[in-house]
Amino acid sequence: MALGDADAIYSEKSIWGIPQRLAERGFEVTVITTDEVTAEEQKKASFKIEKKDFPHKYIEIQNRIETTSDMIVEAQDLTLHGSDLPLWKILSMDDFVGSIMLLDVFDDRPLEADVVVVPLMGVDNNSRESCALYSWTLALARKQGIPTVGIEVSPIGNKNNMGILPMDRYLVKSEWAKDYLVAHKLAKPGQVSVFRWEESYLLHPGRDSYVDAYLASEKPMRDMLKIPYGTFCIFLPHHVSFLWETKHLLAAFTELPKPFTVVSRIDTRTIRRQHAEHEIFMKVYKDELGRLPHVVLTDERVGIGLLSQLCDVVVAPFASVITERTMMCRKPTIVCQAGGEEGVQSELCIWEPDPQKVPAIIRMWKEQGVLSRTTLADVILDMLTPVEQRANGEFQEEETKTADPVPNVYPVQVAGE
Amino acid sequence: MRSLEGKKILTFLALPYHNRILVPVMKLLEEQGAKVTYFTAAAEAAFEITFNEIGLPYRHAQDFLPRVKDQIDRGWADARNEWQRRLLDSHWALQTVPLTIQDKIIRSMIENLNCFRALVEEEKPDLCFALHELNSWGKILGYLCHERDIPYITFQEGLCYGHPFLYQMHVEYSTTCVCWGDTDAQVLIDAGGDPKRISKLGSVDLWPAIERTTQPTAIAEAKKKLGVEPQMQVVLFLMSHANYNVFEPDPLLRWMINRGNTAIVFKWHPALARDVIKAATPKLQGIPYVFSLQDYDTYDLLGMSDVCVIVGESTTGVEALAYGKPLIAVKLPHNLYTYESFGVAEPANGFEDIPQKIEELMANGVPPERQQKVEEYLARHFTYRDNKTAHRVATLAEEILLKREAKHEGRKEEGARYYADSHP
Repeated sequence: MALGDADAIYSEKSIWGIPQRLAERGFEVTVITTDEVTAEEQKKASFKIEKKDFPHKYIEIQNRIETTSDMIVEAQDLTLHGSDLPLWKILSMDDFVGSIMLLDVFDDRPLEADVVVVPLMGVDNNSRESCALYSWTLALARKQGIPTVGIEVSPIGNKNNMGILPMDRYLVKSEWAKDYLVAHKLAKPGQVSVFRWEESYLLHPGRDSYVDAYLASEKPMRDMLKIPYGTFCIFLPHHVSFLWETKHLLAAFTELPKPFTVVSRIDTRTIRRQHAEHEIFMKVYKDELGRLPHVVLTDERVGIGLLSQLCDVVVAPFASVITERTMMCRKPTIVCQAGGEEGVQSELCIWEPDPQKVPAIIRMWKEQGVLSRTTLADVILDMLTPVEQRANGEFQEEETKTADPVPNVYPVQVAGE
Repeated sequence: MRSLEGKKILTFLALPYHNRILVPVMKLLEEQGAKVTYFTAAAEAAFEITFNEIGLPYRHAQDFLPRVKDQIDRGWADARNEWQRRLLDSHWALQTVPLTIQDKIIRSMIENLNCFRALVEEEKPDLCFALHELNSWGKILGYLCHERDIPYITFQEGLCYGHPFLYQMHVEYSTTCVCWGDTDAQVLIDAGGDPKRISKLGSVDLWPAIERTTQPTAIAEAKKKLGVEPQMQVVLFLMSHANYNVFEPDPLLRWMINRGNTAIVFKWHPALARDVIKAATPKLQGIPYVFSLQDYDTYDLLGMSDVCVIVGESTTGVEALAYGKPLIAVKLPHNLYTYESFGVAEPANGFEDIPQKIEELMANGVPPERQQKVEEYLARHFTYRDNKTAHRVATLAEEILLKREAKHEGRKEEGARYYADSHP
């Protein structure tokens, strides 16, 4: 991964979480960087860091002229669209010759990588060193036939888009950016994926303790809940006031293409009559649970904030702190309350009182690509997986084995059981 | 009837020094009845300020963007894709300029080509002007004029101190390139310019500026404005566009304080980044009668100065000589052009020996043999040393326009004859 000082500044250093997450997923990562890295940071990192310098030096006029001449040779047959005016003729004498800053700083070297990750350059945020690092790394990868992934840091959408260099795959922060790349013929739809919010957060300025907590806990949480990376999850927060809704939602979920996992959470302190909340959950929804491919039930040992970020979509029978936060982190959310509100609260929050209609909303989001958000690690895995072994996405239809009466429920023991 | 009644002139302006050269000429052409339209384009150097400061109405190329968006989109996609491919495969030649800079440059070229074209099509000028066709704006306007057979007048206004390579395309699309005199003309010809399209007409603004700023009242006013006592002598440092290390000016400052009655002015090149100046001059801050100026009229400073020190390569050196000022020259590393090589300036190495050289010049004046060389040097550089150059350019423009009109009339008559012959 190339990591330039400009993007480290832009993201207030958060971008360093990207190689960290790749390392957590088991990749051997080398970061070539122009950012400032202390010896201590280098020692603590779970990946290799190579500092790359592009020294600034005075470029004599003779060198400028020779380099400009090389540019003219490279560009000699290019004319501006709709004219016979050669591009080099406008470029050379003032702008190019005067802007040469990177002479004799590039070297040929093997990259020794299976995939190269490079941020996309933006006009709003860049530095001489970052530009040099990115174009140099990509040129080497191209020469050595190494697949490349471009990631969006500076926001895509500006008319100056030459810094979005041709790569094999792109990971961007929004559907807007994806549509932009396709509309401007910078990429084909199949080449572009959208980051899950939790990962794109690492490419924004500013901090949020809620997301930081998730990034720090994701791996142990997945290990604990036995939910592998890449699993499509629906989070269904539970509340004993909304049993009807939950029962019908679980039933409605059976219409969704498999595989998927439903995650729910109870509070061990909640007891109604002689039943603890987990008993209510198991007994009331017995039939529906048996028809679902995978259900994970957990308790207050895993926070609702973490669960809502872990999942791809949240379907809640009630508005709460969960739905409030999911809107803030762009998580598709449906609030389904019998006899309750109906309508669109925000781009990704819909109120739908009829549980039967919830699968259609999820399908709509799927078609819109809203539910295809992914991580860099998953994109890289996809790139490195032979075509014939690739899945077609999280909603791939597959035959499921005959369900056990209560399959996969309680992988996590509820405290007090 | 005025000779240019009904004629339309389109003039590109960018930086304030473009005004000094082009506006006087345009005023004369307007007096002859021509309608002059000024226009500018998007630039980080904020060309809009140039117009706002003198209250000149102008059109902006970007106003035409919506009209030509489709052409720009197509042109940009083609150029971008091809340039990206070549950049990655060029084995570093195209990477020597950071890509985001190239992005802005190439995108603006495509926008300007299409927007300038729309503007030219709407304005239908009979004649176009720009300061020169070295930069992208001047080159694009030149190309469009060439395509439409519109006369195009440009200028090589300034000292040709650069490498000959840089002057290769100065006289490409220009119907005529106006320059000061023999020296500049020869540089342009040696770089491939057609001698028939180079007009040696003198400087538009230098001699009027000398007349304006060397009157005793003007000097007194300029000194008052700067905060220099009327009796004080002024040493003017003309700082070229360069990267400067931190100044160690102690010898100069000691000399100035011991001498008394002396002010020192550093006039910085307008395009030099402010942080470079700030980093170089911490030891000049807060010292009475030491001035560090960037956005200031150089001619006012030249008028009040007693000795000038040219640091590096700059046209201000020859201007100081034209003002009749004793000149000391400090050569910077990598400089190709040096005033001392022509015997017109006293060479100095830096702050250690400059005080002594200033003192000698103030005491004894410029030696006669050097004065003779200065005279010859100025004669080579300026075909005319008067304030009539704007009139000469206006007359040339008028001749070009009338010649073009005659040519068109000739074509019309020829067409009419052909039509009559073929349709008896």
